[in-house]
Amino acid sequence: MAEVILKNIKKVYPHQEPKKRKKGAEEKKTNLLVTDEGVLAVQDFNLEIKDKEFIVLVGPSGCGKSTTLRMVAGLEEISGGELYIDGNLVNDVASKDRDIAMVFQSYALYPHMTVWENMAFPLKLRKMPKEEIAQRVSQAAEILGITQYLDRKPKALSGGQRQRVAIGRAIVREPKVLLMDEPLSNLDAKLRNQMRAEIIKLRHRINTTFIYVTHDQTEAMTLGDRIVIMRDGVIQQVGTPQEVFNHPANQFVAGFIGMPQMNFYDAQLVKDSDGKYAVELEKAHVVLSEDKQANLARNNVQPGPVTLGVRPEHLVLTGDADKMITGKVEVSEMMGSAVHLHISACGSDTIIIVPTTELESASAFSIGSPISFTFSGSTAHLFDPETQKSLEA
Amino acid sequence: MRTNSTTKLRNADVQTKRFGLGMITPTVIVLLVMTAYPLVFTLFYSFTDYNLLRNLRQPAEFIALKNYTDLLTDPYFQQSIWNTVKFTILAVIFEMIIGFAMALFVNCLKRGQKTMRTLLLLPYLLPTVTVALSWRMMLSPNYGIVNQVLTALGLPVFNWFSDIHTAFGMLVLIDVWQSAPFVFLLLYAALQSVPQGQYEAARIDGAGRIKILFYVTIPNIKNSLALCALLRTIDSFRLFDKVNLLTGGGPANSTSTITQYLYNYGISSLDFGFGSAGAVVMTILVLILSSVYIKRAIQ
Repeated sequence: MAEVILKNIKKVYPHQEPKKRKKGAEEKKTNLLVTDEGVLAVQDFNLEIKDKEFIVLVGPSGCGKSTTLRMVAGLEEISGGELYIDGNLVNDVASKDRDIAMVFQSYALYPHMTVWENMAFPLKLRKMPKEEIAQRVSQAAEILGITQYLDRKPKALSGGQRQRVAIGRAIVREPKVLLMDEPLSNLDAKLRNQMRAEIIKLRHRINTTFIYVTHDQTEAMTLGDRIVIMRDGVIQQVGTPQEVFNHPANQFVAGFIGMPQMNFYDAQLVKDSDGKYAVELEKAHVVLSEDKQANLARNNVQPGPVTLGVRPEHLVLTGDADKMITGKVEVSEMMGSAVHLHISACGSDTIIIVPTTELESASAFSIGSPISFTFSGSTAHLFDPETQKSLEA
Repeated sequence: MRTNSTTKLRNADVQTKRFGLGMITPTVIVLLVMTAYPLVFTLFYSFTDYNLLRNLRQPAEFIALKNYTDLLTDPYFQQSIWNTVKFTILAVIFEMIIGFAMALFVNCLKRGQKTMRTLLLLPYLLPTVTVALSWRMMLSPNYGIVNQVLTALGLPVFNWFSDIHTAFGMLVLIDVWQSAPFVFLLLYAALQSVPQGQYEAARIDGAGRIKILFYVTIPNIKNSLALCALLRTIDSFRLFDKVNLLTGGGPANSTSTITQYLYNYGISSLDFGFGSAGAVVMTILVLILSSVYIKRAIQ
């Protein structure tokens, strides 16, 4: 029940003394910025999280999302910048005094305590009266459906049940901010989907500010009010799931959000005789939609080479035969409701999703057979080939 | 066909069993010769008046429980038992507290853990004889550094190992000095295996350092604590070398342990019957002591 403001937050890990390296040991490759001070794990992190908002930090491994969360939790020192929770500067406030709760990927339950004791522990430390502890624990247990396990020790529970207990331990406190660090990563796919739905329900029952870290874009898209996409310690884009999906700020975001990944091609941006922008790729000449025209014109984009991105579900197999891109089917994956076609075209790998309902027969795409496809002007995303930034933003 | 295959299976089973027996036989023989035989031998002689000097001329005679009654009514033996118990309790308590404190200290160091670990472990690596002799030199009333420092400070000096007030305490001190590093090593290893996440969760849940120690650290390493206490208890109970080298049980029997008593009255005088009875009593005491831990461990 509080807003969280991160102002120019920075995390620097000082250089380690060079250790003797074993012969043949490879140096770990990262693209993190290295300065005289050390390695910049997070830099210029600016974000205002509104009261009761559900924010998801998402990005590949090592992008600094967990480090950021741990700085909010007070588990990592903040190297620079200011962190406000509920209007108070908390850079130097200990974790226990920040009124936050956290759910860990490893659950981090206390193995020697029963489920009840685990959940009551934070309340006991705050010297809450026994009746209130009992009431809060049983209420949280009911919300999470773990009432029948209250007398058990964590080792007698399954992964999903343990994660519920960990969430229970966090929500009994009724914290100002609830932090979750990849809480579903240790669960199997089915349980993960189930728990994801439960977190959405939970979110509506307990009104608090959530900061959720994940590397899974499905979790990010389904849970977040807003998504923060990070890479190499830098925020790439902040926006609602729809915004980042429809208007990715750069090629990285476009590739990261969406499953399967967006297809990218080296294409040409041209201006037709009537002054309209169009993209040319092989024989295809696609005139862009009105809103894209306006965006490009506003940014005064000049014709020339661009990186074209089209999502697999936006590539279509029907159109004017003379103006289509041609390729060869390499793999055809039957997914039930759709077929994922892997095609080699324009010198790169392309994926097309074809709904099963549009297919005459599943065997229509035998390996090696030629195929042609195109796209519409409203589904094309254009990026600067050098800066990789969106030309429409 | 079916009977054929079952016979084959049964043959294979018999072969596996035979192979297994063959593999454990050498171990069983060694165990019988080295452990079971001396045990039975000791038990048997504890009921006789077997004395090596006398029995060169006449055979040992069966005297039933006389050795045991002599032993248990001997005030020197009673004092030795009390000394041993007192020594064990004091040494184990101090070793556990100091060893645990050392482990916590080294575990929270950000740099130099390896160096510190090696330095702290040194006393445990030294042979007991070396330890005893170097302490004897340091505490010597004539040339020992301790008395020299005390004299320089104008404080009273002691003849540490011959004074009835200090001899026992010195033995405890030396044992703690040598064995606390063992406790440190075991508990340090246990501390390293406590998941970091639990500490972090406790910090966020609102626990301070002391609460984390009692609610997270100690419960997580309690098995190691119990094992460590058991090993140290058994070892302290059998204390012999330091006593024998430094005081020989004196002054006035004030540092005599059960083993030292057995050495003085059973081994030195070659009265093996009496010595055997003492050994049996000691074995029973050690078993009683460790049964508490062993029961816990099994549970």
